[in-house]
Amino acid sequence: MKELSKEYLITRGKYNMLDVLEIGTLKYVKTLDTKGCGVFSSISHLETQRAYTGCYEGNIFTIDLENLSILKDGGTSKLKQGIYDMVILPNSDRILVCAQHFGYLEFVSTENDKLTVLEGGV
Amino acid sequence: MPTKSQKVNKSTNLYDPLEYRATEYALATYTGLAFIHIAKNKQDASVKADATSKSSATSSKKSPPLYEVQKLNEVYLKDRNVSRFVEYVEDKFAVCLFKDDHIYLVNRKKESVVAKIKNPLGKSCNYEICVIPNFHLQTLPFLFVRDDKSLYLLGVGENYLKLLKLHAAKYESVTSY
Repeated sequence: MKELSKEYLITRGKYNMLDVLEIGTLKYVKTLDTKGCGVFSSISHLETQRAYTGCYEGNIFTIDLENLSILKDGGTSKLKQGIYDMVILPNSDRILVCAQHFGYLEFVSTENDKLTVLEGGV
Repeated sequence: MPTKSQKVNKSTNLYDPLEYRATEYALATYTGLAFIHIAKNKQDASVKADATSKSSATSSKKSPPLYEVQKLNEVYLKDRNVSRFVEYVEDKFAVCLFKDDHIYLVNRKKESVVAKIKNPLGKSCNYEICVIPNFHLQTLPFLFVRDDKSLYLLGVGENYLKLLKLHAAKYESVTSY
């Protein structure tokens, strides 16, 4: 379970899909389809109204917090391993650093809602 | 260097060494609580400038990565499998180990493990550790800890280091997994 924004949180539901709940009431709002991928981690960027979730197979999904939907075109990406945790670097580049199983760290650009894996991962 | 990371030092500091630490991140690894430094590659800007001025032979060279990762020598709980941690105030971490019956408090300023708090229910798999809403080290110094047995409040105040059981898990794991 992770806080998505001030209003919503997400939790893993049936068939590994993501259920969105209201924070104040825990009322079910909607389900986001992650195509069977079990999400491990997430991080939100409220200034741009985007959240990023990582799954155990290395997929990243971008969530539009205004419409509570997963972005399709370019909004998903696949890394080497399962993503345990993510941080957004504190600068204007909005680079995601993804910490993965077996110690991989990868940098992912989120520019223009297009997820691009950058050089420099270790 | 297997594993999961969490951000450290979110706030900006006035003190120079800590300013540097704003670019440092902690990692929960199979071999302890480790730290890395992530910085924008200084060569990047110069290479871009060069690329515009030089011939096509040089522009075909692969440009360096945008960011560089440097592993620091600082490691706590060396060779132990860190499952979860949280930085509850600047430079102070509560660290859980996999199948261990203690939660460890690490202080980076003192460069050591300063306390360990015993889990009354014994060894566990710790799934989550986080600060409670309105956490304050003096007035409300508690963290939430969730493992396969229970939900706890962990007091991390100077005079109150204790794990309080809040709610038992519906289906307790016998094998601690």
